[in-house]
Amino acid sequence: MDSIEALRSTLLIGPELALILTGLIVMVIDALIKGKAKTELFWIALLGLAVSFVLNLERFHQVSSAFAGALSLDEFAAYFNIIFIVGAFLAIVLSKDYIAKMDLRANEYYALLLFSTSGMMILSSAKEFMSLFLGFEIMSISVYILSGFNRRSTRSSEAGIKYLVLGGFASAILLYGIALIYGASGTIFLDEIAKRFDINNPLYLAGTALILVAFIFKIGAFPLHQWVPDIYEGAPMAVTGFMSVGVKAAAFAILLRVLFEGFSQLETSWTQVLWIVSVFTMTIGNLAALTQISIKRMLAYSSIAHAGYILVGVVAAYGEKKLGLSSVLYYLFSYTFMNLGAFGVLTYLSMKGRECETLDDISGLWVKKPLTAVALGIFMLSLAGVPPTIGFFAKYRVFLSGVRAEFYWLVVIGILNSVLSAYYYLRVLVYAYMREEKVEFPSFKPISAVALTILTIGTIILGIFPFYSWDLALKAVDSFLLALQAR
Amino acid sequence: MIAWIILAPLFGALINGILFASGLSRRFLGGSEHEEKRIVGIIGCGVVLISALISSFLFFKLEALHPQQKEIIQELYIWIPSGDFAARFEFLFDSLSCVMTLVVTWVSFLIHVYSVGYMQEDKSYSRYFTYLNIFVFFMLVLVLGNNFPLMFIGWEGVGLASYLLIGFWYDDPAKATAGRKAFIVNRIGDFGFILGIFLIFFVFGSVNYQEVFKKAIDPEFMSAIPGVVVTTIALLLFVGAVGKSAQFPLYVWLPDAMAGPTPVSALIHAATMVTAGVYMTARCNVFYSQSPTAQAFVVSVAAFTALLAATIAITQNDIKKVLAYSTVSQLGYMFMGVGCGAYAAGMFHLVTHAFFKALLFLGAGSVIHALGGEQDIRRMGGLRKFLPITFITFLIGTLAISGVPLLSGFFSKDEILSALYERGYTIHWLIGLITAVLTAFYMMRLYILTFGGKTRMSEEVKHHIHESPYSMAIPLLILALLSLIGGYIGIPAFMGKILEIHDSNLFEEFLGSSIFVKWVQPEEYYLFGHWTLVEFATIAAFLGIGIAIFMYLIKPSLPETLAKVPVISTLYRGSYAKWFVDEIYGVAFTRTFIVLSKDLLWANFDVTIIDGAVNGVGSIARGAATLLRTAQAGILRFYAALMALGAVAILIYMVVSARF
Repeated sequence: MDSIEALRSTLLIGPELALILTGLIVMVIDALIKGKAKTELFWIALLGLAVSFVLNLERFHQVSSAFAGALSLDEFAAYFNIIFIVGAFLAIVLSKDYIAKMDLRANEYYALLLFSTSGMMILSSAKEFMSLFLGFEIMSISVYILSGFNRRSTRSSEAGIKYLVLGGFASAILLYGIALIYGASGTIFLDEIAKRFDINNPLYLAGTALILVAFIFKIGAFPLHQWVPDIYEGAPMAVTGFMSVGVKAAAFAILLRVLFEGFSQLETSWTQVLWIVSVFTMTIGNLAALTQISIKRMLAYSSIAHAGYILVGVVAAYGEKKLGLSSVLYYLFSYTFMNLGAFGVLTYLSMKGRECETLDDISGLWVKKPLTAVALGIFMLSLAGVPPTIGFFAKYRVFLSGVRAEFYWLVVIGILNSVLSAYYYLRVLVYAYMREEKVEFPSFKPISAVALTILTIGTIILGIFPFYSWDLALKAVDSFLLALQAR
Repeated sequence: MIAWIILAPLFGALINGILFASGLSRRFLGGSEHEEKRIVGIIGCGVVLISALISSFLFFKLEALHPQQKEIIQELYIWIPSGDFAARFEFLFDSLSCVMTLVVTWVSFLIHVYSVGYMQEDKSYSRYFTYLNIFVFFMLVLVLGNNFPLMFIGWEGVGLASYLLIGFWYDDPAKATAGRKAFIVNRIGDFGFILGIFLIFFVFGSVNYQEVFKKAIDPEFMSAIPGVVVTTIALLLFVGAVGKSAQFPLYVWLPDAMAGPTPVSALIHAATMVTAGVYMTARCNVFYSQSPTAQAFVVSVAAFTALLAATIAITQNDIKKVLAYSTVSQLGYMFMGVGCGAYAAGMFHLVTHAFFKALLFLGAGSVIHALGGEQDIRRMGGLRKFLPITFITFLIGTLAISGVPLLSGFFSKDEILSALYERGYTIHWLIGLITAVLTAFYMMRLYILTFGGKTRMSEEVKHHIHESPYSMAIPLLILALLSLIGGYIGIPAFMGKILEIHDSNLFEEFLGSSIFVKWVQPEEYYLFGHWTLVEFATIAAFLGIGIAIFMYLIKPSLPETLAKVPVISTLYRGSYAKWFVDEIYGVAFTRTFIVLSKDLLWANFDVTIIDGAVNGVGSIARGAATLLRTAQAGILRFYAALMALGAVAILIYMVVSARF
């Protein structure tokens, strides 16, 4: 790779660079200014994300590849980048008041969120294992630190350590898988691997399985889901919201890319695995969520269950490539709004030094803060999949693709699970709307309120007018499939 | 254009709801309560006026179209496209929905204006207008939707609005219960309705009106479909109508629904929402016209309802209850009309009924308002001196509903009765006539006990009595005018010919493009001609009015004397107790249901099986959780071990499944 190519590539990865540079700027400015609030950092971080968002839009017009094919800057990646950037943006907006309430240090917090997001973006474009691993680790390590960010809280610290150890374990498995594949094929490029793939060589099979295992860990699916409730519960609320949408989406992005671009010859095999994984993930997530008293932990289990629903789309892609894949993309987009919204409400309602966590903490919300209660209601209904919210449409798409691909039992199990889930989502509303007030609620905070308003309106409006985002998902999948056919 | 008719009330509801009902504006913008109420009122009424003006404009546009293609369709977008089934947000403005839209928007507007005065003192003023606008929005979705799913959305939406408004003063448990009763009873009907929609989709492969109806009038397509299927569709849809439009046996929620504010009773439970079933039947005329069985069933249920409700109304003492049973009875008339195939006659009665029943309810509201909440007519009387505007308008409403010649109710009721007779439903026609006598009787009784004779009010009430403000009086006057002359839009052809006005029924002609199967009058001999039928109806009206005047004005002691006659006293008690229908339902359904669910299902099935399962799952989960929680240091290793196990399992599966 000559220096001109390097320069060209550097120019092409503008969206990622924007975030990394902003993260660095945040750290430098933090050292220069005095005072505790440091509001400037907040605005700089938002500005960086906005720039990155705009630069990313360019990729819908012009598909390119950078660093000698290491990164594919296509519409598929661009779609995921939108999810990451929007998720990070809203998470940061929600964090500002939260950081003050919890008395956290703002500086590294914003920088780490930005770095993590840039890692996700690299991950979604990765076409070979080095970039993949790089993105995977940039994303993960930042999130490990963020999980343990509240150092005064033992639970948070514990979550950080746990995540680090278990995440490290998953990375090791991933690396092992990569090593096996490289050993068998002699290349790390997905396209090349696909060409050289030999079903009869056990090294390929084992490598595929191990890489798949690592991704299953990151999306928080059975049988590697045990970390999710503990770490989601322990991490600071705003971080949990960000993790539950961003990291999950990034893991799905790379899962799709590696499986379809690299290991498509084994499609029957891993579809079977994912079928089983999906069923168990949905069922275990929902059953465990039923008995939770902590909303935060309930949402953690619910996020496991949602990973199961999304996997229905991945499985459906076996028969219905376009519909199945776009339903996965669309689901992740929708999930960003409703789940971040649900965590956002809890973040918003957290009091000084104490998180809003249990059902009792939101009891009587309707009387004291009716609009917040309405927002919470919309997010819960959306998570339960009630029309006309965005959540209904996402679930509908996933299940429809399952039916089209003739995975009837999977869809039946999915729908039964979805019915089950209504119970615990609605229970939150029972507490919020019908119970007496038990605790004090914080006063109105304009910045967080703006974020919640955007999320609420997004959840409703994108549910009533689902086509713009759906068309975008179709477009992204089209480019993805076209590239697959072209080679 | 059509979309704006619907969207305007939605925006009104959103603004009033988010800004005012939530208390946001008071917190952030300040402003006195009085100012706030004024803005809320202006927004609430204004958006409905916009809808009304647009729909009037579209009416003229529709009139200018060719008679064969009298329809304007606007597609907003496709909500759920999937194969054959597409849920489209698409609106249809044809003659049928035009009539409904005009009635709904204009009557709503008048009632909104009236509410400004009526609800002035209420603390939940902005919440009230929010709900009212939501109602108008859903009602318009119901009416203007161009497919069955949209109609269903509107159908459920108005049910929701009705529930919210019946239980508007939810502090009172009785009122909250009435709201729930309405909601639950309506669920039964809605179940039938949605089954009907499923069946339509199953048979016709579409839910779009044009596509379904086009196939349904195609003899070639229909020849392949057994008649019983069409009958089933018609009857399932009618089950929905029975719930929403308060027909026997599901009418019981409507009298209880009077717990809501009186303008709500006027708007939702008299003029608009309860007529949705009639509109739906008229919309689906193609099914009913092709199924004589369904028609006979509808007409019979309707006739029975009309008579039953009228016999209850003659003895009630609550001013709103009388009007509520009267509404049930009049809805029976409408269903007799649309049921026997005279869709235009049924729709015509819907329109005139909207005028005079809204008027009567608003008049009743004015009385209640003036008397500080009094609803018992035994403690009224002689109000004509105190409330001159209410008195004169209420009288006009009474005469109109009684069917006094040349007032609006006369034309529409006569249309239905003649249609029944001419189409061979002689017994139903007779029931209709008897009901007409009863109607005139109970309405005149209500009027006399309220406004006529000497006053029976307490001194204190008399002291506070006052005529209503302008915002309430003007809607009364306008509705009175409409009740007077509203009938002239549908003068029957035979009258028009003789009077040389117009040689056909204008209203029927206008609706013609939405009615697919035309009825041809058979060339056979009728015992009675048109004019004789009119005379019968007229005699019925005057007979009822006469008896009422005689019993309550000329000889006020007569009712008491009559009450001592054994047979009559039994009948009186039965009627006064509403024929014990609520009690019978209470024993037959509610009680049984409770016994079934509590003593049988709950005690056995729930406790052992469901609770067992849930507790089992719960205790397993809890057990597992405790297991994990006990050893803090152990967790990580345990997780790592599980992960390793999972990884190995997947690894083995992949290798094995790919190799063999």
